[in-house]
Amino acid sequence: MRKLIGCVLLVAIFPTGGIAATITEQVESAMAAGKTTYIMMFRSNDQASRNMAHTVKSHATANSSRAAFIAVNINDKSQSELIQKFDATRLPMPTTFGVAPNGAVTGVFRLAVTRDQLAKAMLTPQYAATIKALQDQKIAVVCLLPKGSQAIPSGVTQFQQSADFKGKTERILVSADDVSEEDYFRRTKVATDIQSPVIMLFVPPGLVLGKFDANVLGETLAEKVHSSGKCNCKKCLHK
Amino acid sequence: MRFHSLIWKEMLRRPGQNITTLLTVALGVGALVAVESVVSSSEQKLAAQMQQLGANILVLPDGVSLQDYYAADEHGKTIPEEYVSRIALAQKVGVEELAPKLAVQTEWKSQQIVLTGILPRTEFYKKSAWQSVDLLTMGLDESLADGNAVGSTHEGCKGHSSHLATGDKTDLSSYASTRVVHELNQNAVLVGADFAATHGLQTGQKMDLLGETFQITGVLPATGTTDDGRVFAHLHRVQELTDSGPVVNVVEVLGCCEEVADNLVSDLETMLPEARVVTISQIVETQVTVNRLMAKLSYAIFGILMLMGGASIASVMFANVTERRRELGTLMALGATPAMVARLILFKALTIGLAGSGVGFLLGLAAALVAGPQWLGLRILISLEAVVVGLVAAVLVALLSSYFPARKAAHLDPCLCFQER
Repeated sequence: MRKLIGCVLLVAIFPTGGIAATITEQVESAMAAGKTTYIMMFRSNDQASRNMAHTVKSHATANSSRAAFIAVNINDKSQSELIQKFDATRLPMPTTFGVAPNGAVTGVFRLAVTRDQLAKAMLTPQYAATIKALQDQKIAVVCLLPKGSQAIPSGVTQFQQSADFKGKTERILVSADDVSEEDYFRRTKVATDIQSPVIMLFVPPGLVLGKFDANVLGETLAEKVHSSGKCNCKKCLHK
Repeated sequence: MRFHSLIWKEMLRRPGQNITTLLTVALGVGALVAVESVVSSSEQKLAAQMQQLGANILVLPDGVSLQDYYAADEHGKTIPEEYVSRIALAQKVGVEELAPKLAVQTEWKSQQIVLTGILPRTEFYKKSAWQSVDLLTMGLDESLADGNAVGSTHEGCKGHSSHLATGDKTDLSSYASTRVVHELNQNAVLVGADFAATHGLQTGQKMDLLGETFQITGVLPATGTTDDGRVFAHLHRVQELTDSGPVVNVVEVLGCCEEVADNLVSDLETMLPEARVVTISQIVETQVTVNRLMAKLSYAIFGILMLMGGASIASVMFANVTERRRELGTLMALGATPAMVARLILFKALTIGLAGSGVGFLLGLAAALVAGPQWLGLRILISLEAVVVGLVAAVLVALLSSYFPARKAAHLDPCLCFQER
């Protein structure tokens, strides 16, 4: 009887368990719809898995327009591609991944998760673009632009076109006009009423090199990256 | 006849007694020099290990005990590899590198070799990159919250294992200090310096292991550890070929500094309650205790042998004075003073003491130089303290134990000596 109740609960909490072949499609469909997808990997119907599934599912339901929940049993061989992608057999179970619509992993939550943590894994489009650049091992040069301006500081262009960094950087423009990016300004502690552009420099996997004003020179940005030792060139100080 | 010739000729006339006495002294000094040299070399090695690995922590299966840091994966028990992920994803400050290992015995060219599965740094980076959001949040708080906009980077103990190493750290030569290789593909092997030298292996050659062909992508620099005789492959490939599943024998956590290591141990114990978390100081603790015991024991043996040597010298000297009464009486009749006769006895004792300590030093030196490297794997440095203590003590014992025989000789009456038959 207990087993029967367990199976019923399993199907109720992990609705995707029985239709394994469609999981990848579900992930792709959620990403295409611009939703943050929470992929929960679990091994068995234990208490921790049930708790995590409940938290993630209720968070995804509450934010159904922006989030989706998918559960994957790591013993399901038909899902081996997804399991291998996240190296799930070598992770503590259950683990939930937050995946942005652009494919960036926005969070990895092991054994337990709170709704606050899940909320933090929902990123604005440009923040997700920043994370994607870092996960692709690129240097992210973020320009936070004031309202009504699209002018890119010349230092940023110089930096991107310099011999050391050409092709290794990703420029991300975040406009104060764009209400969907308010959270980007909040997270970076930059006011939305700025009068001139603010430049931020990030290197993989998530190192903040600094915040600069619009007059920053390309050489200053380059020097900053070299001194961090993160571009692996001869000029790096190898920290 | 000169004073020294008198002593020398007398010693040659009774070689058996003198050699026995000399050997007793030599054995005492030899034991002291040998044991003390081994102990002090062992202490230096431990100090060097502490200096190099002091901040390191080992995560082992529960119940495993070990005395050699470098052989931490040779106990045959395993822990889940997910422990490595737990540590890596926890992003604890002070964790500079992670080095999980799985050691398996396998056959190569009809020889048993140790194939060690290791995880290159790039594998950790992949997982760390999933935490870019957390790292950025942490970085933004650290570097921007206090208005310090520029220059706040993760330096020293602020470093995290998540950062992909660059420059020198990607070089194989950094393995001796980092215990981690930067990159290793699934069909590649790295060979230890000794293994490569013994089998004449070079980068680019092929090796057939566990039914698969691997290419040697590098020869690791000599580390002076068991790693020099091993072959290394990607951990996941070793797991796959040996059907061992996602497990490891040990996880080496290379800490940033000893201050951080203390907190790290308690954090890891909380994080991994099913595992045993030990520091390098805990591992060498047994060795330190053994060393202290050996040092005490060597002095005890030395003391006993010196007492025996002293008793032997006293006995020989008393017998010598009794046997040579007429000879000593003749010397005194010819004008030798009691002081000169006493000096004759004391110089003979001094010669035995000096020669005994000299022979003992050579015996101890030979024993330490043979036993140290062969049995204990130590590079021996002779303990000067033991040499000085041995020499001074042997001479003092020889002189003190000859004091009464010398006094007896000095008080001999020549007339009475000649009256005796």
